[in-house]
Amino acid sequence: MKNKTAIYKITLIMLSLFLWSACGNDDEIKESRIDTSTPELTAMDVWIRENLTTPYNISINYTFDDNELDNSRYLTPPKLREVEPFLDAFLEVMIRPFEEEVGTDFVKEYFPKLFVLVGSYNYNSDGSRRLGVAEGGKKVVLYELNYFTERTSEASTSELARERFARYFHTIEHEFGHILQQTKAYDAEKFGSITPQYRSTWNNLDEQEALNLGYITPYSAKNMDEDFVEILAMMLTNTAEDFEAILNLPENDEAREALRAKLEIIVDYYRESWNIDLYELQEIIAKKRQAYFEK
Amino acid sequence: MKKYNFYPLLFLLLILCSCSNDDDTEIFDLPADERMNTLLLEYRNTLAASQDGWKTTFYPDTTYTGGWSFVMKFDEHYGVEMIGDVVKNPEVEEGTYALLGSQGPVLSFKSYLPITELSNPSASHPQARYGSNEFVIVEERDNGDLVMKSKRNDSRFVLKKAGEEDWKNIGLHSETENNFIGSPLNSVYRFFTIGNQTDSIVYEMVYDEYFRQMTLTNADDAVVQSKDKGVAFTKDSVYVEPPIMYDGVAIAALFYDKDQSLFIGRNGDVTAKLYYSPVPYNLGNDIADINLTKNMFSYRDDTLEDTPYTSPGFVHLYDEVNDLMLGGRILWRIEVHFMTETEGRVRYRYSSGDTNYSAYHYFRYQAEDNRMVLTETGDGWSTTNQGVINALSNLDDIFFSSKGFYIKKLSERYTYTNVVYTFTSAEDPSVRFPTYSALTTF
Repeated sequence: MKNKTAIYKITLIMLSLFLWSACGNDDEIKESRIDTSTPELTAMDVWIRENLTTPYNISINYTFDDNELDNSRYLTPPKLREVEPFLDAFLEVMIRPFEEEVGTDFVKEYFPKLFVLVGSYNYNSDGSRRLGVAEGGKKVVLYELNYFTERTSEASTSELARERFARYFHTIEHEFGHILQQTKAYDAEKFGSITPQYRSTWNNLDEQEALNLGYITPYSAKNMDEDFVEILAMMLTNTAEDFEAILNLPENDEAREALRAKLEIIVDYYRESWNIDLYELQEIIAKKRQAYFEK
Repeated sequence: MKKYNFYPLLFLLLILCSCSNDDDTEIFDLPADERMNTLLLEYRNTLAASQDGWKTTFYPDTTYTGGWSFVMKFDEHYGVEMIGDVVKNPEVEEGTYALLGSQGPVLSFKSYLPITELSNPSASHPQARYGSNEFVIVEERDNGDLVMKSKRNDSRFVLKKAGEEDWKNIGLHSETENNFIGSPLNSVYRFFTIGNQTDSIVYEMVYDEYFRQMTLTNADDAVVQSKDKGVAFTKDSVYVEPPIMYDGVAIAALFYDKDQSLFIGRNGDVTAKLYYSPVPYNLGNDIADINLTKNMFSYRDDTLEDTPYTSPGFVHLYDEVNDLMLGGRILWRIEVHFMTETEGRVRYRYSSGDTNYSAYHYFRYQAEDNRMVLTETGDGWSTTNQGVINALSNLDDIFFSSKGFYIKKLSERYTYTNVVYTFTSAEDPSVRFPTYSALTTF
């Protein structure tokens, strides 16, 4: 019996020693295998770094990246020659007005950190087109870049070109509106009570039908958050005069009043929560847009 | 006899063995990431080393598309120049590429290039031409060819080293393609015959320009022989993939014969020809089979404009109507309505802004030698708008030609479940349009 106990004791001691030493790894810690070297920068990369990333904390992905896009869709990368004209407009008409109105730090802190540019259209199964997508307040994907110059440059004096130009920035203003709206809450109860008939079948409405129900666009009728940012985007992509005309488009008083009541909530929210005078910002954007077209 | 417990010792031995270090028997010299990086660098150097670049013909989906040819030249700084016959009058586009280590070595086109046009969707083709922007490098063959496959659907192609002349030849593919598509003024009756000196088969051929595919229907028994004959073009020939077979002999290439205005291919004593005819090969009996009374046949521009059965000649006539319409009026639908056993009406529906209008007039109808002839009853138009009547006059002449229409039932459906019939003018066989058939109560 004593022998047995001794054997177990010895075994346990040995086992402890071996377990302690058996898997010892004497390999030295080596250098990381992650490639941290700076990739070769193109002239476009340098322009983005100097004009957007360093001053405003915004990075632009203008090359095809499978990981940033919906793989179930057929999409093309942007044409290189379209990237600079678009980003130039983006800088002048989107970034600089906010900077002028509310300061560089605001842009640095709240603007989406990553913009992904896609060249082609992005079609939904119902035949409608997706113009842009925001993800988590940090990333915005913008489509249809390959048509930017064709649609906007030739006719600096044409109304159609200005309208098409505005559509690109409508998407960005819309998505940026969501980010601010999600960062500081607005009076949703009051806003949502003005035109409460929101619906998932918004795409069955045409523009005039939506206006007559007090929604500035058909997409506004989807829910109150979308309604909020659609009014905002429409305001900031039109001159004060044109926007006033849009507000008068509904064919009944009730809808016209509803639009103005919702606008008032938005204007108050921007002033109180963000110290932004939307009318002033609208004017700055309109001037910058005009200057861009006259370049 | 004393019993010893050997189990603890056995356990010890097992522990000892389990952690033995087999470092000396590693299969690879370098870690996986380093090996992949080395491989990618080698592929970059291989791609950049070909002085005049690389050429290929890529079939993005062997079931649904034909092929498009590209010539591309890579540099060591991840720049690429490319030309492709995916657009008319192609030009060299400059862009960028990357080599990525995902699913094996992947060649990724990072900016828009001709090959990425195959992924460019449209409203009527949200799936584009089933293209991809990224391709896995499957293998490098002994002769230097690179075998690639689409990351989206595994369709394969081979990159071969190109010569200077390949860059020029791409521009000439359009001419072959134009000859293959034909003029809008050509008859829609196009036949493909294949056979030897004693026997042959005749197929009716319909070509889908967007997907570069042809449908061959046996002209004798009206059985669709193949819907998946993809085509690709060279400067002087059209390639058919998979090849067309006759009696065990394959014909894959047809060359354009300018003098005869037809494509011709030969393999041994088997000859294949593609040619136009002013009349159908087989008149068939589709008219007799249709229950015409109360049947309305509608052409809708929004859903039927792009079908392979909508002939360029018809599109030309239709566009001409809209060009002539005044005040922003747009023709969007045509209805041929057989209201009774002998009479009906042709109704043109058009819009102006948000309002829809229509203009129609009545006809008597009768079948003549498998043609349907519509004769105006002389009651006049439902509208007095002379501008609309004038704009519609060329189209109207086709409807009320004394030669009538060949009407044919299709097996295909477009957007809706309605049976589709084509109307082809016997007066001008370049004019063919598909229609939805629907029984009405009036």
